[in-house]
Amino acid sequence: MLTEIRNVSKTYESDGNKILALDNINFEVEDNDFICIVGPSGCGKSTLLRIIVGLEKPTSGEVFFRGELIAADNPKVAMVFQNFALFPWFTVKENIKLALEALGIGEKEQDEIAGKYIKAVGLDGFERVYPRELSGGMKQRVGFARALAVEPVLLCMDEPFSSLDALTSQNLKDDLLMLWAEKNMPPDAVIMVTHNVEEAVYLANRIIILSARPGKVMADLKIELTRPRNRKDPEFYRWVDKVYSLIV
Amino acid sequence: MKKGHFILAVVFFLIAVTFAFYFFDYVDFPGLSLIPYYAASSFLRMSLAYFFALCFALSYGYVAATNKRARSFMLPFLDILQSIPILGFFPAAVLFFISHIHGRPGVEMAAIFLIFTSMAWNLAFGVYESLTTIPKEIIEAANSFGLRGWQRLEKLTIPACVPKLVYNSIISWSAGWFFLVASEIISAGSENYKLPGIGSFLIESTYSGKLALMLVGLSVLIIIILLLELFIWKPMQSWADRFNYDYRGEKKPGEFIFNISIIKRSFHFIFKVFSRVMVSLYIIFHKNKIVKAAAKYSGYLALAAAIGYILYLLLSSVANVFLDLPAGAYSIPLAIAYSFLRLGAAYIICILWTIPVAVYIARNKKASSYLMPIMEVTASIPAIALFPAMVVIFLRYGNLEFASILLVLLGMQWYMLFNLIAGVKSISNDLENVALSYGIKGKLYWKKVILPAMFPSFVTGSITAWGGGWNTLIVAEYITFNGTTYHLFGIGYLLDRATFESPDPGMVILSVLSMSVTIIILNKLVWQPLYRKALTKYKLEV
Amino acid sequence: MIFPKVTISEIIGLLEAVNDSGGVEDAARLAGDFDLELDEILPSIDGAELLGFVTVKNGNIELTADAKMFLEMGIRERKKIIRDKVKGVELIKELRNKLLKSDEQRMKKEDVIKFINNCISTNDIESYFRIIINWTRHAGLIGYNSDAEEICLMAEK
Repeated sequence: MLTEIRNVSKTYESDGNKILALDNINFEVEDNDFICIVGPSGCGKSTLLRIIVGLEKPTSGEVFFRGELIAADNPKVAMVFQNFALFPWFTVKENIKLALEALGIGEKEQDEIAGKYIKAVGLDGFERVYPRELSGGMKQRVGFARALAVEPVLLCMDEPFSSLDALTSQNLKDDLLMLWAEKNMPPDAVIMVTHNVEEAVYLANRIIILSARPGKVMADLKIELTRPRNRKDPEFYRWVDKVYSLIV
Repeated sequence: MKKGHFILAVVFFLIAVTFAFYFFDYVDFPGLSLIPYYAASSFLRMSLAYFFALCFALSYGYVAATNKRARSFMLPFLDILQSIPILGFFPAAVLFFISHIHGRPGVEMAAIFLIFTSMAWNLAFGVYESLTTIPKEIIEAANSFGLRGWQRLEKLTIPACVPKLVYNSIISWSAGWFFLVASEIISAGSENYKLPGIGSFLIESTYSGKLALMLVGLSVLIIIILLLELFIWKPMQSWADRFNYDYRGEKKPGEFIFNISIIKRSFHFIFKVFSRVMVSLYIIFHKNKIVKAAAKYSGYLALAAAIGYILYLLLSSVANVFLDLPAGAYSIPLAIAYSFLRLGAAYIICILWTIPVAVYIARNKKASSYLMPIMEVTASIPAIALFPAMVVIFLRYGNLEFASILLVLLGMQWYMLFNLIAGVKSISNDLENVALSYGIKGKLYWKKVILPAMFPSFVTGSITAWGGGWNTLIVAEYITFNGTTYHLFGIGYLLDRATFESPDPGMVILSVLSMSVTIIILNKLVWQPLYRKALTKYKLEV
Repeated sequence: MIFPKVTISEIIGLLEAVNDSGGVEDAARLAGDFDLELDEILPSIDGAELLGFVTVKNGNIELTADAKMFLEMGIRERKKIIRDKVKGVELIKELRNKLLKSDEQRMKKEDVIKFINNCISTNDIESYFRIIINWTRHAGLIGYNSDAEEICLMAEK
């Protein structure tokens, strides 16, 4: 078991009122899980992801990663952000190397590893380009490369495709699945937050559905569709409908 | 600004007054009962200068924004004007105005002109920027509604300018206070040219050794500034917020905002009158062809004549100067070097403390909530108001050099600090999260996240800090006190001596010229390239 | 000459979508699938056509054999195909030739802009520059140094 989310609840204070955002979330993440967390907007899915990654602390409950309490800078858990979060004064390669430098890896090795993952996500040719010159899709590729470069066991993604146009997003999702399928590529498991149900059914092998606020786990579905999945397939749409029915 | 600011100031005032009355023989000091009069004169000078500056800014900015040909020389001209040290102008302005309008009115005009120059350029830039950044959709909407003439001015043009104008007005007034006090202090050194006001009150009370009174004067100045802040600027800001294109209507909890409907209405009224006058003039000139042609040609003629006259004055005086170099001319390069070193020393000290403090304040909510108000109050005191006090202290220890560097430091550091704080705050939450989750911390975080993120604000902070520094020098290098003149060798000294000691127009011109040239060279070689880099490589996307 | 204002990623996205429909799809329906207007998806179709990945007949988009082979490949192998395809695009061929003849095989951005202006009539030259550089970078043919503002040939690996 990679990650255990145990009795996690989160309460916020706003204008003097206490708001319960997440209510007693419990689930486990295993090797080879590609989990998509879906739910109506405001249900707290991004908050849940931040708690899983260690960027926020739950009001009650714990998150265990490989048996230990999760800390934000755990090198085996990496994050991809909706708005890419690249440092504008560093090139593509430098952005990736920064994550490696933080792990204490030496200069030469940083170069090799960064180069390897730049190729893996198809960014070769863009090593010395600055983020301001990149389209959204390319920026997110850098986000992926950076996350993969630290060779995480668990990859967490917060609405990674929401800021991209439809066609680029399609391309990126397929590339992501290609990387996921490669045995020699990190990570071992993925948790992704999205509001797009089709996207979830396309990518995940397990969908966790949260209710509206306060977010509770309504369902934990195993998606039994063989890959490669086809959006035009009626079977695909049956799953989409099933998820939608559980959200309401 | 919270009530806390105001309470702080009132407390300070009460302490000062108590001090003053403890030494009750000072109660007779004529200055004390004249404080309201002095305060009013200073305030009046400020308001007049502001009014002229506003009119100038609206017209100049509007023309520059709408007329492509005019823009090509109007903008660079404004740029040059901005880099000339304003205080450098004061002695020259005094001599000029005095020669045409004798006695005190001449000096008043010089002082108002000085304050005007400290406000007008950045207000004009504000108008220009506002008018050139109106989103396309809004212009299209205005066009589709057929907005023309005064309606267009009232519903589109002027509202577009409001946010930047309010913001720049606040900055202009801060700058203005500095120059007001400076001009009053400088002129106080000469019996003929004394201007009654807070600045001269400060120096006179220091002069007669009545430090407690000086404190009273200082706190009166602070209170005026805070009252303006509380009753005019803060409310204007929240009103102006409405004119922002992404208005969110946020009100910070616990903030007290005075209801300014009267002020709002009077501003509205002034704008309305102004726009109607402008548009009526416009219509008259456009509808009638003969009038239009006559206006055009006479306008060109008048402009050519004015430019010709000014050029003639400038060239002849410059020519005179160069044909017959005044004795002090050869000391100018050395003087500039000395002044430059002083500025450099102050700048280094400034950076050394502002960078760590800015980072600390920006990242520490608790610390910032009580440090910020204190700093804002301290920063609103024009550094120059503290100068008389500092002179006394440092004279006792015999070293004016420290006093001047300290004064320059005070003139630089607030620009730097507030810019840096904004710079650190601009690091988006996302980037903070990246640093947290990828374990980027300690030295690596400073070197690769904080310092690069601060770079743009570091550059803008430095540019304004040095601008403030040059101006402060002109006061810091020359003080007349108790009949004796204390000075430090530098370009400010040369300038002041040539104005007040032994009037030497040639030296005045040369000093101002060489100072301006130095500043322009520094801008072109150092600041502008850095700024360009900051805008491209280091720009944080919102 | 008309050059489609579309990135390589968008073109590949289009190919994958047509593939999902079995290799042929009606353009309007494809647009609808992506919640786009027909004219919003046209540049991607043009781009795909230019690279020889699709043929367009009677409003239907059909994948070529090349495209089908391309889609079977992994990310790394796809790069080689992209390189070959982009090399064959007229405008890019000309740009490369110009570059080969230039001093140190570099060209200033302003000269590239002039070159593009001669080929494409447009008000938005900056966007076209960015798109063309996007293609050439993807293909590993021509790189762009934004600090020095000049393009240069990339070494063949």
